[in-house]
Formats: sequence, C-alpha cells, structure tokens
Amino acid sequence: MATTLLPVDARPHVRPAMHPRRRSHWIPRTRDGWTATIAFVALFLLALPPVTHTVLNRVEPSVLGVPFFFAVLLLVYTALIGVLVWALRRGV
Amino acid sequence: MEAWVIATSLIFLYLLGTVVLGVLANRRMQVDLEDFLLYGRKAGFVVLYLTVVASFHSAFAFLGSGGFFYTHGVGFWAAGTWTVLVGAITYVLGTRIWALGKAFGYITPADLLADFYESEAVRATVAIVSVLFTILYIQVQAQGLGYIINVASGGRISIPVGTAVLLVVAAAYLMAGGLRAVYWTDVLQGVWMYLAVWIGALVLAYELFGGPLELWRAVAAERPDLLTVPGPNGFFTPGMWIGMTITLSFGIVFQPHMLIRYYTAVDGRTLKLLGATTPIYLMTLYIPTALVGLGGALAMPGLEVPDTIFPELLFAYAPAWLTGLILAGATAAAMSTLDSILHANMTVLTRDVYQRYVAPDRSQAHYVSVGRAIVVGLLVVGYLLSVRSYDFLVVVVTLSGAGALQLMPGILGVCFPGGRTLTRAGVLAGIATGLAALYVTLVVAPHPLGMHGGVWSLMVNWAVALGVSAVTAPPSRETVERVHGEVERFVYGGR
Repeated sequence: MATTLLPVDARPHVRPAMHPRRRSHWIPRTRDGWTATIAFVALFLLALPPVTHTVLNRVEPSVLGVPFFFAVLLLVYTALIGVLVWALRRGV
Repeated sequence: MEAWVIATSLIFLYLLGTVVLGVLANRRMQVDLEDFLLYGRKAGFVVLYLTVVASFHSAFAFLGSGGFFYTHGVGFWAAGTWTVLVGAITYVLGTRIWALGKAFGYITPADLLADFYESEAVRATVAIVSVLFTILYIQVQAQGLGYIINVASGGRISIPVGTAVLLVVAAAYLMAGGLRAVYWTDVLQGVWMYLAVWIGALVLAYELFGGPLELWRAVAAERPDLLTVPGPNGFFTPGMWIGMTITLSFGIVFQPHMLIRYYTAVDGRTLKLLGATTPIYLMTLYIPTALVGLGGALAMPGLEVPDTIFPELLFAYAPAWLTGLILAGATAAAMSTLDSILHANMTVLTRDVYQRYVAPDRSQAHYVSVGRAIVVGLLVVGYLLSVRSYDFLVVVVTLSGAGALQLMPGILGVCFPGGRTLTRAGVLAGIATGLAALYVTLVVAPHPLGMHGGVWSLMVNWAVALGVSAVTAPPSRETVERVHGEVERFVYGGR
C-alpha cells in the first residue's frame, strides 16, 4: 500500500511557529567541542563577579611583584586565550 | 627644536604615510562594489588582524582607559573579559556570518537579517540602527583627533582646525582606495598605536618609579584603594562589571564596521585564527594603560580631566620625540576607528538605501561614485557634530554604546539553528522595546539596581522578541532551510 506524506506544516508534531528542527547549534556535538566550551565557561566565570569581588579582591599576596587582583586575572585571561588556541588546533 | 614642533611634525608625518597608502590602494582598486566595500572578500590574516584590533580600539582605549584607571582603579582591568569575549564571539559567530556572506553575497548586516527574516522593515530598521548609533562615533573620534593635535601643538592649532584636517585626510584615503585603503592604513595604525602605548608607559614607569614592578609597589603602598574593586568611587560594582563585559563585547562586535569585517575574510579558517588570537593584542593593550593611569594617580594627582593623564605625563617627563611618537599613536587609534565607521556608514547608505530604494539597476562604477559622495556628506556631518554642541546628542551618545547590542537576538537567530525560530515581528518588536528600555535605563534612571542599562535593555529585547515570535508567522520554510542549511554545512559539514 502506498503511503501519502502530509505536507510538512500539516504534520501533527510541527507547531505553527516552528519548522522541522535541525540539531541545535547551541550544544556541542563533539568531545573536543564539549571540552572547549566547559573550559572556556569555567575560566570565564573566574573573571566575573562574584569571584572578582570576593576571592580575587585583594592586593596581597603579590604575584611576581604584581598585585594579586591584577596578576590572577591576567593569568585567567591568558588561560582563556589558551582555550581558544587549543580549540583552533583541535579543529573545533 | 621645540617640543611642540617635533610632536606636531611626527603627527603630520604619520598623516602623510596614510595618504600615501591611500594612493597605493587606489592603484590596486577595481571599479567593483565588492572590491570597494569589502576588499573583494580577500583579506588575509595579518591585514584583517590589524584592522580589527585597530578599529576596536579607539581614542578612548588610548586616552580614556588611562583616565579610568586613574579615577576608578584596577576595576578597569575588567577590559580583559570583554576583549577575550570578542575573540570567542569572532571564533563562533564571526565565522558563521562570513560563511553566509560568502554564500549569499551579503555586504551589510541588514542584508543578512532582511534575507532571513524576509522583511524590508527589518532591513530599514537595521540600517537606521547601524547608522544612527555609529555616526555619533564619528563625532567622538573627530573631537578626540582635534584635541590630540591641539595638545601636540601646544594650543597653536585650534581643535576645530585640527578636527577638520584629520577628517579630510581620513575621508581622502577612504575615497581614494575604499576599504583596501582603510585596511592598509589600519595596519600602520595598529602597529603604531600598540608600540606607542607600550613604549610610552614603560618609559614613564622607569622615569617616575624605576620600573613597572616598583610602580606596582608604590601604588600598593600609597593607594591600595586603587588596587581592589569597586574602586575609590565605588564605580566597579558587580553589575557594572558584567554590564561592561556584555556591552563592550557584543555591543561593539554588532556595530556595522565590525560585522562588515567578518564578510571580508578570505576564508573561515582565517577568521577562526583571528578569533583565537585577537584577544592577545586587545587585552595586553590595557596593561600599559593601567601603568599609566595608576602611576599617574601617584605622580600627578588631582587632574581636572583624568583622560589627559597620558599626554600630561608625557609632556612633563618624556622627551619631545617620544611625546610626538605617542601622540601620533593616539591619532592612529582615533583615525583607525573613524575611517572604519565612515566606511561602514557609507556602505550601509550606498547598499541598503541608495542601491535598494533609489537607483537599483545602475553600474558598479555609479555606486562607487555615489559611495564617495556619501563620504563627503558624512565628513560634513561629522565635522558639524564635532564643533557644535546639541543637547539631544548627549542623549544619543549615551545610548550609542549599547545601541547595536539590540541586534543580538536577530543575528543569533540567523546564525544558530535550533530552538524556536524568531520572526520578523519578534525581531522588530524586540529592537523597538530594547531601545526604549535602553533610554530608560541609561538616561531616565541610569543603571537600575547597579546593573548596566545595556543588560536591562537586552533582557527586555530578548523577552519581547521570543514572546512576539511565539504568536507570529516565522520566515518561510525554504528560507530557513536555505540559510540554516548553509550554517550546518559550514560548521559541521557532513557530520
């Protein structure tokens, strides 16, 4: 018996304001993609409040002569750039 | 020779260099709109890198950031968050914009949004937002240029005359060589400003404190309040930190002169490399400005205009040749942003307005000529805005930093398949309410609950865009499949 396909927009699972979904681009699809995303987000949270305004918010101890707040954030920013470079090398 | 003569001569030498590059770019130019407006989509890594970083950093980064450190302390080191975020945005979003531009021939941000949302109203709205909220940057940069040359000449060249000279030079090389001239001069400007700010800061640190580490020790001993947040005036609250991170990353990336740069890359790999590495330049530029601002707070406290701390220190403690070199670097910072905005506005007005609605079927040479004429018009407008004061401009300048941020839901809806598809009505309603919310949270009641107004406006924008999209018609299935299918192919290929 031949089957008749309904037009896409008439299929019961398709809501009026939506189209058939592609796989989401908001969620990584590979192991390297997950690694890069989690590493970037985790490090980025270290450079945002409340961490910046509590844990990092001090002058001492200095790091190689540079005040704590400035030095630690410099390390975090460098690590974030490192994640981007790693992602590039891994083809993410 | 007197210091002002050396300083002014170096600035004019620099200007001469930009004009020569404009002439050389003109010789390479083809009479072709894509070549004139988009560098023929052939920009390689080095040129693209330096034009992006030079355009991102304006006179504010060069002079204003030192003033911020001077007044509010180390909290301005939050700059690292938005500069790193710009790299990530370029890596993830910029590459998608490039792929769609390449596939469908987009030239302006409005092309991208109007195509996907199938709406001329979206095109017009995006074009208006693009021009309105960046044309004021012409005013800001032009005023900065006039100020710099006025300072360098010891007041002998007035601010209006200095503004006029520098605006004419920027417009001249833009008209001569189009985006190629802008890119080539940006290479010079990007290198010059980076070297200038580092050399100037290090010279001052050694001259005043015996070195950078000694400078840090002195600040820690005498003004420890400058080395923690929220700073001596309580400015860098958590809400302000987060707000500046969002508005100065997404808000700048979504401005037309930055979005257009994504279209111009020679390939997607170049843009990914750009995204991974631009934060190195962008972030490290704030290290020397921190030294200048924090060291200046000790060496020269009580300045009436904190933004002048860098030139004030230079004139007091640095040799004349170095002062000239660095002020030329400040000129480069302002001009590289100014020429990019002039170009972006010219592109939007030529492509989205003139070619679309006034004269659709004319030759490429005709549109190039019209683009040049528009630059002259922008030059006049920019000059008039910079030498006169209008009350309403104060409001618009206040809004301009976060104005382009309102394009975020629409652009992400195009570039990230998955989830609910936004609709043209949703995007338009989101932009309108977002701008209204921006006015309220920046002008009427600035930064409610300590959160930056840009963040409030963005939340309102997203909520309205999603809400309206839930009850209105989405773009046609064919268009969604065509555009999102291209994104899928570019990002994941056959996977």
